Amino acid sequence: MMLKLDAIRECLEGAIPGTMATASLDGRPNIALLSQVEFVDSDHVALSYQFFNKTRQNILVNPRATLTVISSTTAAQYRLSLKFLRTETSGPLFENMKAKLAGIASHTGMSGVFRLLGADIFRVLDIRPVLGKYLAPPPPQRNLLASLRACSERLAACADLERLLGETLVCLDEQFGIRHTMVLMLDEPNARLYTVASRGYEKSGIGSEIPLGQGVIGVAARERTPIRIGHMNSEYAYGRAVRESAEQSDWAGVLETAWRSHAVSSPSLSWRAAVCSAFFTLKARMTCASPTMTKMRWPVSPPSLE
Amino acid sequence: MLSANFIACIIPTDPTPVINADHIAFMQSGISINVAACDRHNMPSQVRAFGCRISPDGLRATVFVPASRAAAVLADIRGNGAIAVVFSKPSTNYTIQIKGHDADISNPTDADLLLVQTYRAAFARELEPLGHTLEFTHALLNCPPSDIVALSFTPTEAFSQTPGPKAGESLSTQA
Repeated sequence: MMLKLDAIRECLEGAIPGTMATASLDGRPNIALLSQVEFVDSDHVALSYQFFNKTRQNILVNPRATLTVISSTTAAQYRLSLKFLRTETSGPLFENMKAKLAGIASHTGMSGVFRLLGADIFRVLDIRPVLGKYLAPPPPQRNLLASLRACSERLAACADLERLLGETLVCLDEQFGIRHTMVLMLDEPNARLYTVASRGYEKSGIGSEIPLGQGVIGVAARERTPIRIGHMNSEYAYGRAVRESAEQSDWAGVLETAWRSHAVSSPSLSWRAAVCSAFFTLKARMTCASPTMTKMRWPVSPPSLE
Repeated sequence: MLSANFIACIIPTDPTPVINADHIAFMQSGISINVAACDRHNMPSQVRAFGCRISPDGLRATVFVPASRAAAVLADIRGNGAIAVVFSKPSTNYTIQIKGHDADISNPTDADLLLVQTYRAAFARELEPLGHTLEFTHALLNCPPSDIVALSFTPTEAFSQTPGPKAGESLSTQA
């Protein structure tokens, strides 16, 4: 049975760039690194189309490609045989990838210029492990189903919003190991999000605000889509490389001049996923717990758990 | 095989190298190296390389690959000699791709095998600050010396592939 993409999804988290080989019709190979390979379903991946580069030129005339991805835990490599199908320029997948890119662009002063032009969809024809002596995979840290059951029981006992928010973040910490979390709500007239609960940070940040469209959080809220970034430092380094290249190009005049050039600390990795999880859990809990709670406005539609 | 007309239009008329000393130093350092080839149906193949040696004049490049993982690449190179190699520094994303059309396959010398060992250590040092352990890098680049083969070719084209609007530009344009 052919190995399915689900089984190697960890290789698509963005910790290590994939390598994509293509060929022109006159028999000239090309190979490029990919910072992000988006999991679509067990038979498809999507690649971001930001520039009309050689890889894109090749797949438009010769749809066959090979992609190698690497597990960041075992170093195991997998070689995927791909066939280019189409480019999507709208729809949920495109919006998700666009929002993710916009978030990175916002952090590197490239809002408006570093953007997604399309999501290139490929069918995965075959996946083969590359021969080698790799590391043993780490044992699972917890039973996710048991953790979910424990959380449901604890949240069911919450009778008011304050306790529900607090207990949710405690559950994410204790049951899922998500140490840094925050919940933000929408102030629609002022187009801002404000923090109503947080956990794991030196300062609680409750009451702090972020405009819609600013940073990854603001973009996720504006586009009403969850953004999942597994390795923020890698994404940030990629954005910084684009920025430095853009400063030497025709783009230079439209780049924002003030931007945060510091590295993003690793604790910020987990709270984005936590925010999505918290929205989902809280919305579900509040819907069944209290009719008055459900009248409150939520900053984004509850995202699906990935 | 490549047509005579195609070869005529991509072979430089003089032996001017397409890479300079800075490029050579970069390509021989502890960075990520990946090789691509393609068969006569233009189906691409690829493999990770374990180091690189470039002649001081920049006219001949050699990369080292594990034969057991490179069966398709080796078959394709035997078929048409076309090759592309991408070099990328993980910590900065600075990336270069070179191409050639006369690749051949040979056994590595003892000095080449020593170079592969040196490359492994240098790549591990590059990856360690990014959170990858020595054990991880060794697993990624693990193979017995007897499995290593050398792919040598004349670089006829060289491109910047650092992410951004200038990706794809010829290195000679950027000089």
